[in-house]
Order: sequence, then C-alpha cells, then structure tokens
Amino acid sequence: MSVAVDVLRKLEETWEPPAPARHFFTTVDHKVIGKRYLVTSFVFFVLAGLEAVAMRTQLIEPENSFVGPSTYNQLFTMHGVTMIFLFVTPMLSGFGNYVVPLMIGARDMAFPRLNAFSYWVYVLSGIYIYSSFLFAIAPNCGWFCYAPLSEKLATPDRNVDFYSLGLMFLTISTTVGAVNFIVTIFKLRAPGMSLNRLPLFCWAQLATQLSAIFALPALTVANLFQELDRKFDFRFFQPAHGGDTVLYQHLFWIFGHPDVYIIFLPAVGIVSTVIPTFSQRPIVGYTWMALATMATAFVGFGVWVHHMFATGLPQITMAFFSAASLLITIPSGVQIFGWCATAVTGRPILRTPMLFVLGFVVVFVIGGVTGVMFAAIPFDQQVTDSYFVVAHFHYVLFGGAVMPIFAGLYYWFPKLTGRMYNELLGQISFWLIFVGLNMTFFPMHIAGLLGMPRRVYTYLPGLGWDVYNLLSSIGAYVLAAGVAVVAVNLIVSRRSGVAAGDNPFNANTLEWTTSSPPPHYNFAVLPTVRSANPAWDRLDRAEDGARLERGELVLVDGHQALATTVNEAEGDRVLEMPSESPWPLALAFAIGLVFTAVLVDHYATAAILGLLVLASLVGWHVQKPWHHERA
Amino acid sequence: MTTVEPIWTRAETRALGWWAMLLVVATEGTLFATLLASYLYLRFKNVVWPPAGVDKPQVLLPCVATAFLLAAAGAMFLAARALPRARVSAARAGVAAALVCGVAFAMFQFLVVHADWGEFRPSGSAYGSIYYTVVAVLWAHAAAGVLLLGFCLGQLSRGSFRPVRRAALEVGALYTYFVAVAALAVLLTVYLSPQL
Repeated sequence: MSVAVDVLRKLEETWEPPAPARHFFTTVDHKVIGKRYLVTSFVFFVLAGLEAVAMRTQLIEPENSFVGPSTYNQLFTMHGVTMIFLFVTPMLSGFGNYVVPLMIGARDMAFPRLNAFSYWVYVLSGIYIYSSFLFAIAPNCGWFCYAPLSEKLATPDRNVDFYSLGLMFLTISTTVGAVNFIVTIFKLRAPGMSLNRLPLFCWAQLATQLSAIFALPALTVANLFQELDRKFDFRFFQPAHGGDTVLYQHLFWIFGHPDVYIIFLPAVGIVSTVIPTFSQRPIVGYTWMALATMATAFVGFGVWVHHMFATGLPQITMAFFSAASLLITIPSGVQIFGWCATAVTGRPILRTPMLFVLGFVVVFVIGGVTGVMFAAIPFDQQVTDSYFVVAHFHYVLFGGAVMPIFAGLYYWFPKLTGRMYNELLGQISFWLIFVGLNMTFFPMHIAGLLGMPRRVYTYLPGLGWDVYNLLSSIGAYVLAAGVAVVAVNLIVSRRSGVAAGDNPFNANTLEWTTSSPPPHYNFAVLPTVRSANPAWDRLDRAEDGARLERGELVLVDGHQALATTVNEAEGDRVLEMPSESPWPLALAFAIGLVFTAVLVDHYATAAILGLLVLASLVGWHVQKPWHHERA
Repeated sequence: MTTVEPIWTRAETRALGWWAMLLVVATEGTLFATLLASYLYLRFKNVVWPPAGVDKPQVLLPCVATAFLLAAAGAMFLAARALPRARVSAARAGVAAALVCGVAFAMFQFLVVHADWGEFRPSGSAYGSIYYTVVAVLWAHAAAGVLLLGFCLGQLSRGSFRPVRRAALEVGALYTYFVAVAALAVLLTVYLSPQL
C-alpha cells in the first residue's frame, strides 16, 4: 500500500464524524457550522423579508389598514433587528466559518467547540427574540431603541426586555466568534502564508472581528443600563435624577457605526475575492486594498456622532465628526478604484457572482454619495428621520452587504455542495433583485425630500407621496420574487446541478485546491504557500501531491492541526484539536435559560440556573481530547 | 506507516488560549472603558457630584481592596516566571497567594458596598446607578478571576500534561493583570476623582 493511500485512510478514520443523530448536536466541524449559519441566517432573512413586504403592503396606498400602528411598530423594529443582527452579520460569519479555515489551509477553526457554542447561542438568541411575537409583544422601539421611549414609563410591556436581553445574549455569540476568527487567522495559517499573502477576504474578516471586539461592549453597556433602568429603577436615562437620554445614543452609536463596517467589511471581502476570479488576474493594489480594509475599520470608530447631528451637540464636536465622516471615503474610494482597475485590466466574465458584485459597486456608490451628503451637518439636520435616511441606509446595506452576500452564495455554492447552480436562473435572480431594490429604495429618496417621515404606519392622500410609495411597494414584491428565485435555484441545484469539480471558476485561493465538497480534514497535506494567489501556483500544488506521496506535512497522529507564527506563518507547533462535544450546546442552552428567567423577573431562578452554566463549563473542560477517546 | 514531519522548533511559546484571553481582555477592557466614560459623562452632566445628600465615597477601604488585586497580579507574575523553570511548587504557591488576594479583594469590596448601601441606593440618582453598576461589574470580574485561579491551581496540582497546565497559568496570569488594572482605573475614577 502506498504512503498516500495509507495517509488518506488514516485521516478518514481520525476525522470521520460519529453517527448522525449524535453528530447533529455535538459537531465542531467548521464546515458544518458554517453551513448551519448560512441556512439559519437565510431563514431569518426570509422572516425579515416577510416583515418588509407586510410594511410595504401597508404603505402601498394612503390610509391603508392592512396592519395597525402597534403591529407596524413591531414589524419595522423586528425587520431592522433581524436584518442587522440575525441575518447579515451571522450570514457573513457563516461564510467566514466555512471559508476562512479552507482559505488559509487550516483543518479547523482555532477553537472548534467555541465555534459550535457561538452558533448555538446565535440560534437560541434568535428564537428568544422572535418568541416575543407569540405574546404580541415583539420589540417596538426601532432597531436602536432609544431612551426614553425604551423606559418602563413609555413601554411598560416586555417588548424592550426581549430586545435588550436578546441582544446581550446574542452578543456573547458574536464576541466569542470574533475571538475565534482572529486567533484562527493569526495562528492557523498554512506554512508560508505570511500576513502579506493573506487573502483579502481574510483581511476583511480580521478587520471585522477586531471591530466587533472593540465595538460590542458599548452595545452591552447600553443594553445593561436600559435593563437596569427598567427592572431595578436605576436612573441612567432619567434627567430628573441626573441621568441623560443622549448617553444612550452615544453608547448605541459607538457600537452602531462600527457595526455598519462589521456588516460591510466581510461583504467587501467577498467582492475582493470574486472580482479577481472573474477577471482572471490578481487584484490590483493588494497591499493598498488590505490597508484600506483595516483603515476603514479603524476610522469607523471615529464617526458615530454623525448619527446624532440633530441632538443639539456642540458645534465643535459636530465639526470634528463631520470631518471624520468625510475622511472615511478615502479608504472606501481606494477599494472601489482597486476593484474597477482589476476588472478593467482583466478579462471580466459576467457570471452570476460577478453580476451581483458589479451591481454592488453601482448601488454602493449611490449609497456612498448620499452618505457623504449626511456628513454635511445642515443637510443631515434637514432630512433626519425622513425617508431619505431609509433610502440611504438601504442602498448602503442592501447594496453594500446583501448584494455581495448573494454573490458569495453563488460563488461558494459549488464548493459547499459539489454542484453548480443554474446560470440562467442565477442571472434572472440578479436582474429581479437589482431592478427590485432600485425600484424599492430610490423613490424613498424623493419621498423623504418631500417630507415623508420614517416609521409612520400610514399617511394622508394629497401630500405628493402616493406614487413614490406605490413604486416602492411594487419594487418590494419584485425584490421578493428575486430572492425566491435565488432560493429555488440553490435548493434545486443542490440535488440536480451538474458536478462542479474542485475549481470550476479557476479561482486563486486555497479552498479551491481541495475537493468539492472538502473532506472532513480539509487538506490531506497542509499546503505550503508562496504567493497571495496560491491556487494559481501550479508547481506548489504539484509539490503538495509529492508531499502526500512522501507522507510529509500530513499530521495523521490524531486530530491534529498546525499552528504557525503570527507574521511569517512558519511552523510553530502541532496542535491537538478537541473532539466533538455536547457541552457547547448545553452551555448555550443554560445561558438561554438564565436570560429567560431574568426576562420574567425570576432572579432566584436565574441564580440557580447560573449553577447550570457553571456545571456546563466544568463538563466542557473535563472532557478528554479526541485521541484519548479513540485510544 | 512512517510519516516525516519537520521538527517544529520555533515554538512562539504562547498557547492559543493565551491569544484568546488577550482578545477577551481587549473586549472586557473596552467594557470597563465604556463604563468609566459613562461615569465621567454623567458626572460632567451634573453640577453637584455626588448629588446632594450623598457623601463623597470612602477612600481607605477601596485602596486596600485594590492593593490586594495588585498583589494578586504580582503573585501571578512570579508564578508565571517560575513554571517554565520547572519550579512547580513555587508556581503553585504563587497562584495560591493570588487566589487568597482575590478573595480578600472580594471581601473588602463587599464591606465598602455594604457601608454605601446604607447611605444611598442605585434608584436614588444617576450617581448611585453608575456607582453600583461599575462596582458590581468589577466585583463580578474579580469573582470570575478567583474561579479561574482555582482552575489554574487544580491544573498545577495534577501530575501530568504539562503544556495544558502552563497554558492555564499563562491565561490566568493575563486575566489577573487585567482585573488589577481595571480595579486601579475604577479606584482612580470612582473613589479618588470625586475627592478633587
């Protein structure tokens, strides 16, 4: 028996998952968890889409009565919360989970159990927030849930509690996910993949997760203060007792604006991945693109006050943040020029992922231009809380994040499933979505400039808003049809698409050098990298095959992975990766129970359930590593 | 089957857990920075701080409590230096000392809060709200640190599996330094700055 056959047999034996019934609850495989993130977040996307369609149906004509004001408040709040927290961010985490270890030539994430824990907390927190609909008390205070509207006096029911406790619960997932991504990217790269050869998608993930590390605490503090005010009569946001409502806005937007980049940057990473592949040339200005990604994340922390220009802050404060808001266009501009230069100097192939990316560039530039308009304080104050704002952020977020997400879904679909999507349906879905989103959101600019305020459940006839609302509503149905075509295409192609092969697009990153779908261990031989486009380095990949024959860099003595040095990615140490475990789910569930007890004001029960959390932590740590179980 | 692996001699020495803890410290440090910034924000929004009827915070006991945490950090520093030199008993003694200091901090801090509780409540004013919140968050972090140090001590008491116990010690030491620095920042902001 040759060495290669022996190595593959041993890897299969070592990494093969247990029986499916157990595997479902215990898996720590980043590919399985990544796919779960993608599917779960798509379900939340559908829910948010249904909420949006309901709102647009309500606004299709003046004085409509499809939904009442109370339901409408819950719909727009849950639409925002779902899109931001339960769809876009987790969807991009799903791509990261699936793709990052493959892109850097690793066998898993740095902390596989933490990865599973992160997913379970995400699912449970989503269920937690959505369960509020069962009692008709879904959050109704807008996705940023300002004080004093959120105070007990204004919202006595538990709507706000679902919001703030649910987000605190979800933040645990996002934070541990960020830790996991950063350590994985710094420490688990393939030998030779020095930082200046790191794929731009990974740079984008790195920038995103670093932003999350420093941005999320402000949201946690805001939610904590909100709950302390509501449940224990604290006075953070009550001016009569020395509190201040604007403090909430500061805290929220110190998180909120970096969160725009937490959403946007991974999407940018997808764009920087798709364009070189479908232009068949390396990205133009790799170093500048990587630096621009990090600079965007960094400057993103200095612009939060531009969400608060109408709150009466001192002029000098607003001038500073206005300048910072203009500054952020520079790294964004660098990226847009880099993408355009890559496409123009390459051989653009207009397949579905590339169409979505080009659509992104057009839509995002429009959203970016209106964003620059908001940096001008007098203009901002004029259109604050009007539909112009709604139009702007949908261009930025739908154009800037959701379009690249569709590009990513089509792009990596062959890798995930081993099958190709239907190209014709793909292109139809693109045009439906592109036309639908412009038809939905462009008229909102005009309605806003004509004075239509956001978050109204109806309006009077004769104000000049009717036709723009009608167009927006029809556009929303077209958009929904486009999303439905995407879903049908992917579901049908998963079963009946033609076989994709390892690298159907001749892409340049490492995930395309392993089979589609990849084996449980990702790579039989840990790849060695000597450029930023390793899949195009034919000699290096041939050398990987030769190493397999010699049994080099295969790490078959257990559930092993290789840690490398942070900067140069030289071999550091062989790691023993943890086995599958039920404890991440148990811990997530226990924490969910604690949050539920707090929600219903059963604090003694919450304390007792806290012991369950501790017990789960103990269980997690006493479980022996993989090779001990197999021995 | 014989497989050929390079000999990994570079060993950057830091366990993955240490890198994870570094990031946890970064995010928790940001949490404290946000809390203290909120404290200062509310302070400068109020002309009288602490509000009328509430005395300035006590100084001596909080200083003593913080000193215990600084001592815990020192003990963990010595323990972390001892283990790579195979002085396991010295490392164990260092962790045990840090553990005792952590418990002492928790007790002293409890005495401080107990005395304050008789004087003012969080529901009385924004000052009370932010004061008790900051102190409770610090106390919770110290309590988590005590649990972590207990885990380190358990690892050091086991005979085998050296890399794991070294990683646990590195992680525990890093967290202890962080809590000590956070306590110092809380002392300066919440207890000493109102004296100025």
